[in-house]
Parts: sequence; structure tokens; C-alpha cells
Amino acid sequence: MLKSYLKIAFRNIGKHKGFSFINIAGLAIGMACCILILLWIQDELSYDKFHENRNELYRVFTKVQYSDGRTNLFTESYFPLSRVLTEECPEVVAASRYATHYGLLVKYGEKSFAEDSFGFADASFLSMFSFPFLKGDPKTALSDKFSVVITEEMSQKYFGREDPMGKTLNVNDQVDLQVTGVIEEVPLDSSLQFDFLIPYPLYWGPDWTEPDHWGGNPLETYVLLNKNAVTYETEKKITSIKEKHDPSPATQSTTLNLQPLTRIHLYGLEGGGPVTYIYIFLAVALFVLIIACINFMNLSTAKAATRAGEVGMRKVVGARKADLIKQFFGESILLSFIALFLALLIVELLLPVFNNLSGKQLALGFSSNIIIILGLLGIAVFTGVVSGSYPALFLSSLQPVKVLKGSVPLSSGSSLFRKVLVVSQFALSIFLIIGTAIIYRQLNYMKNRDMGYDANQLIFIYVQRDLTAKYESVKNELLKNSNILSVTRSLQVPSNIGSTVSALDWEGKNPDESVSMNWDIVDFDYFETLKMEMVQGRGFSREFGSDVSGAYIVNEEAAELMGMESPVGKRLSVFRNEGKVIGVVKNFHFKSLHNEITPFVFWMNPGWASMMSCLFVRVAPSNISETLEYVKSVGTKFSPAYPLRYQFMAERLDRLYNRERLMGKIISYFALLAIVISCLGLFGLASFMTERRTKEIGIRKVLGSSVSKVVFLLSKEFTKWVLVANVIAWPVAYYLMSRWLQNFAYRASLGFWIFIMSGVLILVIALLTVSYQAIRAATANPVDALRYE
Amino acid sequence: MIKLVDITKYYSSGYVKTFALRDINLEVKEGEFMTVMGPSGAGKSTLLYILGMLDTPSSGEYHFFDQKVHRLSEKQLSELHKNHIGFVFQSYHLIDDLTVYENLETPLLYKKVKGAERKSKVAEMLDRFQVVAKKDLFPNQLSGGQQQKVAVARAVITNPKLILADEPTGNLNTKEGQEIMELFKELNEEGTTIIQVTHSEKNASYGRRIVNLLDGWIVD
Repeated sequence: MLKSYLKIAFRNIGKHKGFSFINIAGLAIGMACCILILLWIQDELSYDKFHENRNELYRVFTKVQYSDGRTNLFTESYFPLSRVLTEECPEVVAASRYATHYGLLVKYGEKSFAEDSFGFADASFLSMFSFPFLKGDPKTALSDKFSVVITEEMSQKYFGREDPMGKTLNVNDQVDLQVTGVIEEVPLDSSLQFDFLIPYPLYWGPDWTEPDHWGGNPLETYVLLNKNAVTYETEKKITSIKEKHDPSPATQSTTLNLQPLTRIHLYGLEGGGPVTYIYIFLAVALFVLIIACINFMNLSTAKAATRAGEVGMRKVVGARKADLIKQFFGESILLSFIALFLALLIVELLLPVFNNLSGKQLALGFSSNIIIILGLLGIAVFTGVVSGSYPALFLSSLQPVKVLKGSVPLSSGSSLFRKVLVVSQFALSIFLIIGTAIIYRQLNYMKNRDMGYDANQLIFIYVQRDLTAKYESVKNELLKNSNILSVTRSLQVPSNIGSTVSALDWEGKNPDESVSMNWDIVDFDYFETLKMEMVQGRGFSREFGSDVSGAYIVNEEAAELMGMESPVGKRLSVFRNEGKVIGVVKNFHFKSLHNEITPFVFWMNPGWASMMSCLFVRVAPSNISETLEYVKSVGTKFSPAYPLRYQFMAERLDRLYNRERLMGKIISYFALLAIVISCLGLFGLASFMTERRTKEIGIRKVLGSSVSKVVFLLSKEFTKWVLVANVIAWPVAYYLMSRWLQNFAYRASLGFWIFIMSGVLILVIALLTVSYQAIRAATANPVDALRYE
Repeated sequence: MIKLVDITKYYSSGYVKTFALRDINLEVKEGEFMTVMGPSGAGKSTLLYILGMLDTPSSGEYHFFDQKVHRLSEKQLSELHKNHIGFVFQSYHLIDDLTVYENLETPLLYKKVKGAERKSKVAEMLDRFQVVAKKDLFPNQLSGGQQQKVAVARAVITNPKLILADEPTGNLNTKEGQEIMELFKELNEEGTTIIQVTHSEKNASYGRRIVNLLDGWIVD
């Protein structure tokens, strides 16, 4: 019996090759797309899950609540915190500081490379986290102050076949470190990434002594809690321990909170975060799969009607309803498994492209992904059952007499159902097109927005040691080239300045009010080089010796905060340093456009010169590549060991929106897929429907209808569906995309024409799809259509 | 064997009832070869479908041996039908996607006949109806007469007590028709009850009894 069913199924596929192809291909594409997204999601969800103590590891973050209601969240932590927590908090089993650094020079004998991935941690770090050791003992590897743990790749790079253990690496010409451990590559799905792991104190140099003060510093604190610890209570406890050592000022309340390690990658400190994208992609993937299933079902259903005769005949020779149900379910499940097989092939083919796009290393591992495999089988069975349900349940209950007499009720009910399916497919396609368009419009808007300074032809160079020490000579050397217009430096890069100061005072400030400003320390020529516009007063100038201390420049927001029409000349104290405002700069963006422009203050401080590693070079628009060569040669001249790290500021700004760009790309691919699948479905349906109307078309033509009238007749109905799809998709797209745009403080308008264009585009695509069938039917000789009646 | 009492069949469309059969009383004995005749629309096919349990009467009683068919559930009907009744149609109604061999095998599959027995039965039928050479062909590769032979073979393969034939020669040429009728005659002589519907006087002459239908009534 089974053999007979299989035979019938395969013969059916063979007999209607085109139809079967459309049907199976559509489903396979949908499934492949779903599998890819599931792999991506699985990878995203797997972050930091490889640690044995994953459920007990937390990152401490600080939440500051100011009296004016503002809150500030940051992950920067305090020097003594990990030590104090280990000693005083019973729930904390172990704690470690962690910081990263890039751009350090590593030497072994003749070999010398600038390396980019350094982790700095306390000795307890390696027993808290599970980075698999190939050599050495995790418990003691970082105990000695001058030790280093390296990855297998680095071991190969520096030592080749030699045994690295006990060998000495020189870092930054400052310290010699003994290799005490070799670990496997840090997995890509780890939030903590490093090639070299070095004891934390060396972050500040060999002569650094642990300070006792508490302040926000470039380090994070991770803790390992005991299994019975209650997070909520532990948070209270560590907050009170911190308060004991470092009481908060009256104007703010500070709490220390715990963020589970496994949530770091996907979640913001207080909800939100990239996990939203996971939901969006999951929803879209499921939707595409549903669409593909619907299509499959739709076409199978349309197709099944032509098999009513077979059903009748089988009943006459003794088939029971149950036999037929089994047969049809079996067939559709077989088809969906063929589609699944194809989908797996497609995934294998597309994975390299997809990995390139998403920057991941995904693979379809059958041994490792038991959940995905079960999921896939489930999907295949589900699709098979759902798509087989119409023929299985409806056709099997047909009375053979009716079938054999030729009066098969070609179900008007199911044709309504089919319309709903087609409409929902096109609604999804339209929605995705609108989504893609709006994302790209916003990206474009952000690219072209006036940042308040000119990011074009502005080179940002990360400098340290030699170059910072010899800044003035470097600057002079650079300015010798006529294509270099201006050079300056600062402490921070204006693409993302987050640090704030709340120790502020000025004339007439309400002492009970707690306020804050973002800040940066800059050098001469800063505003000229970045081409920022001064609204009042002047920039820092060598002509005024007093500018190097006690002169402040604020932005318009800050002036407003101070409540002054013209703050120039007024008293301002920042970090308890008294001074005067000498100028007001026009508002500019110092973070991504997700954020509003907030009050900002600049000053100069030669004492910080060695920390000011952001060098800015304004170049002329012509001969840029030559100018770049010159900049590089100057870099090599003053600091031969380090390759010069430079970047165009415009590029750096662009990178702020990588996530949005990735989302735009993925959504646009989805849109394309949804359109392809919808069109496959529409094509199949159109061919089916025109076939059924062959006789009607024949009669119309005999009665004198022209070809174009017939084409119009056949296309009219589909046009109606697409219009209905628009009506459904527009409000949904409007709602969801305006919500997405809410993420940006500065955003493009929604643009009504985008909606219209998307609708028209889909309509044109749909009509092209249908017209092939319609024209074929309309130009056929009517006699052929009528002869067999 | 068969007893129909006051069988009526009508179709409702809107407020109009269309009668296909009216107060049919009919008895058929085992071993009979009966012919139902009448003009188009007289209700011949409907009567045949009701006799074959493919359709149910609107009212009346249908006794098949000692079973009250009008009281049986769909499942019981299906059992009775597949064990005792074979059908032959004017347009053959073979399954297009199955070969001759597979078409013959299908009823046996539904009766859950074991593999070896199935094989021997199919072989026997192929032999008897002289279509051995065609066993791997599909229906559309055969002539009408050959297709109808296969259809008859398929109807006979389960050894039914009753064969119902709805204009079995309607699509065939004279020679092919004659062959089919000879087959029916042979089967009847072996003890199978046969009821056929036909327009042709000549075919009717193969039977021993003629029932005439007109507008749903039996006329004498």
C-alpha cells in the first residue's frame, strides 16, 4: 500500500514538473531562510553560555539617580570594588576586575607585532570563567604580577613549535611578561575577547600602586556568586558595602546592580537592547516560513481539485476515507521532506554569503544542533500536515457519485481562503519593502545630517607614547605639507562621548539642583580643525595665555542650562576648577543620532597631555591618498615601531550605525525572498485559475472579445487583491516603522511616497507574474478550449 | 438477493425538488442478468448508484441479502460495497497515474489481501482478460476497448456477487463492445449477478430481463 502511495506521489511530481518545482522550491526557499535565521538566533543566544559557572557570573553596573530625576547607568567600576566584595560580601565567591586595551607592541626576540586584543584581569578571573587551558594552571596563571596567558594562535605566532611556557614576551617596551598559560581560541560567542590576558595592575604600568579611592574607572567588575545567592538581596548588600566605603553625595543616590553574564550580549543594562532584533528577525523568519507553507498549501489545494476523479475511483474500488486521508497526508509530507532536503542544500550554499553578511561563523552542525534538527523535522511534518489537510479532509469526504458525474464542488469556500492567503503574502511583501525603504532612508539621513562639524576630509588618528610625547613636533611636521590644513588633539572622539561631570557651579546656579554636562579636554585649533561654528565669543587661542587653564567653552544647550543669553565672561566651575566662559559653540553631535544633544563643556589641561591620544588632521580635498602617505610617513618617523592607526571621521560615524545597516540588509533580503515566494505562489495560482477559466475565455473570444480585454479580465482580480494587501500593510508598516524611528532622536520623516511606491512596485511585479499566464490564455485559439467540452 | 421497496430519490435546488426516482419497487435474484433501459434523464444511473451503495436514496428500503442497507453506517456500507460489488463505467475510470497492473491491484490493497495472493490474482486476471502484455502500460496508452477490459477485470478481481455496469460499451466501437458483452455473459454464466444500464437494444439482448425507466418511474 505504502509503495503504491509513494509511486503515485512521485508520478504526480513528474507529471506536473513545473508546478511541482514552483511548489517545492517556494517551500524550500522559505524553509532555508527560516533555518538561516534560526542558526543566527541560536548563535546570538549562545553567547557566554560555555562557562561552567554561567548562571552564577554577573557584571556589576552602577545606577546613579540624580535629584532632578535623571538616571545614569554605567558599567565602569571602582578600583577596590572586587577586593572589597570578596572580603566583605558572603555571597560573592570570587570577583575580578576586567579591562581591555588595543594597540600595544608585543616582542619576542626578533618578532614584533602591534596587537589589538588585550585583556587585563585579576588572578581569580581564570577560575571564575571557563577558558579551556591547553598548558598551565588556571588557578595560578595570573598570580605573578609579570605573567601573561596567551591563546594558541598567539603561541603559534610568536613561538611556532617551541614550548611557550616560561618564555618571555615584551609588551610596549615597558614590561617583560612570562608566559604562564596557553588557552584555546576565545570562542566568537564570548563577550570577553582577548588574545593576551595580563594581570590588571599592569594596565596602568609596572610602577602603579593600587589606589584606595573610589571613582569611575576604565574597568569592569565581574563577580561569581554562590549558588544560593538571591540576586536582588545581593545587590542591596553590595550597594550598602559600597556606601560604607564611598558615600554618595546628597544630590544623588547610587546603587550597584548585577547583570547576568549571559545577558550582556543581548540585553541593555535595564531591559531593551539588541534582543529586540532577535524578536524582529524571529517574527519575520516565522512569517516567511508561514507564507511559504501557506503557498505550498494553497498550490497543493488548487492542484488537489484535479485529483477528485482519482478519489472517486478509489472509493468505488473500496477505499475507505481513512485510506485516502493517509494517502494525501503521506504525499504532502513526502513533498515537504523533499523541500526540507532542498532547503538544507540551499542553506549549505548560502552560509558563506550569510556569514559574510552577519560577520559570524555559522555552520549547520548536525551533531551539535539537535534542537534545530528536531525543529526542522517538526516544521516539515507541520507543513506537510497543514498543506495536506485540505485534500486529505475535504477530497476524501467527496461522494464518488458526484465526482464521477463530473460535478466536483470546486469549493467557493476554499477560494476565499486562497484569496486571504494571497493577500496576506503580498501584505507581508509590501510591509518588508516599506521597512527596507524607511531603514535606508534613515541611514541616508544620518549620513547626510549636519553633525555640527565637518567629518569629511577629517582624519582621526589614535596616537600614544612617542606620538603623544612629541605632539608639537609631529604637528609641525604634518603642517609642512600644504595639503594638511590644520592639526589638533583631544581626550575623546566626538563620535561617542559618554563621560559626564556633575561637579558644576556658576553664577546664580540653584545649589540644590543637580545637573551634569558631557565634557572633553582639547588642544588649540580644535574648533578650527573640526570646523565647529562659534556662536559667541572665541575658541581657545595661543594669544591668551590664560586659556590653558580656567577657560571654558560651552555648547548652546549648556548655555541654556545655565539660563544665560550670553554666558561669555561669566564664572563657571567644573570639577571645582574656577574659570570663565570664553565662547559658545553651536550645538554639535558627539554621540550617534540615537541620542539627543545635551549640554557640553570644553577646556584645556596641559597636565593631561600624555592621555590625549585622539589626533585630528584636516586635509585638503585634493590628492588625499598622497596626503595620507605623508601622514603615515610622519607617523613612522616619530614612532617606527607602531603602525599608524588612522580612520576618516566620516567612516567612523558610519560605523555607529552598523547594526541598523545590518538590519537593513537582512530585511531587504527578506523582502526579496518574500516577493519571490509570493510570486511563485501567484504564478502557480494564476496558471491554475486561467486553466479553470479556459472555457470561459474561449467563449468570450468567440463572442468577439479582444486579447487585451481578456488579459484585463484575468488581471483585474489579482490587482484587487494587491490593493487590499496595501490597505492592510500600510497601517502596520506605519505603526511599526514609526516605533523603530523612535530609537533615533534625529530622524527622517516617514515619507508617504514610500508607501505609494512600495504598493505600486508590488502591483507591477504581481501583474507581470500574472500577465504571462493571462496573455497565454488570451492568445490561445478558442476552438482548442471548446472542442473537448 | 436485492429488494427495493418504494425507493425515491430527489435533488433539492432552492425550492424545487427534482425527482430522479419515484417509488421504485424491484427485486433481483442471484444469478440474474438484468438490463435497465430508458431515455436520458430517466434515472437509470441514479438507480445503479443506489444499488451500488455509492448513493443513498431519499426514502424507501433497500435489502441486500439479509442486510437492511438503508440502515447501515457509512463504514458498514463501505465494507459491504467493497466485498460484494464491482463497478464498470462508460468512461472506464481507471486511475491515470497507475499502470494496468497497479490498477488491478488497488481493490486488493484496500481489501488488505496479502502480497503473494495479490500477485497470483492479478496474474490470473491479466491472463483471463488477455492483457498480460499491457500490464506495465498506463491507461492513456491503451485503446478504449483495452481500458474497458482492464476496468472489467478490476471489477471482477475481488470476486463480487454483483457487477453493476453503467453503459459499459458507450465509448467503444462495435467490435470492442461485443467483446465486453461476451465477457459479461461469461461472468453471468459463472454465477455473478449483473445489472447493466444501456441504450442499446443489442446489448440488452444479452440480459434475460429488462426494466424500463421513464422520468423516474418503472414502466412495463
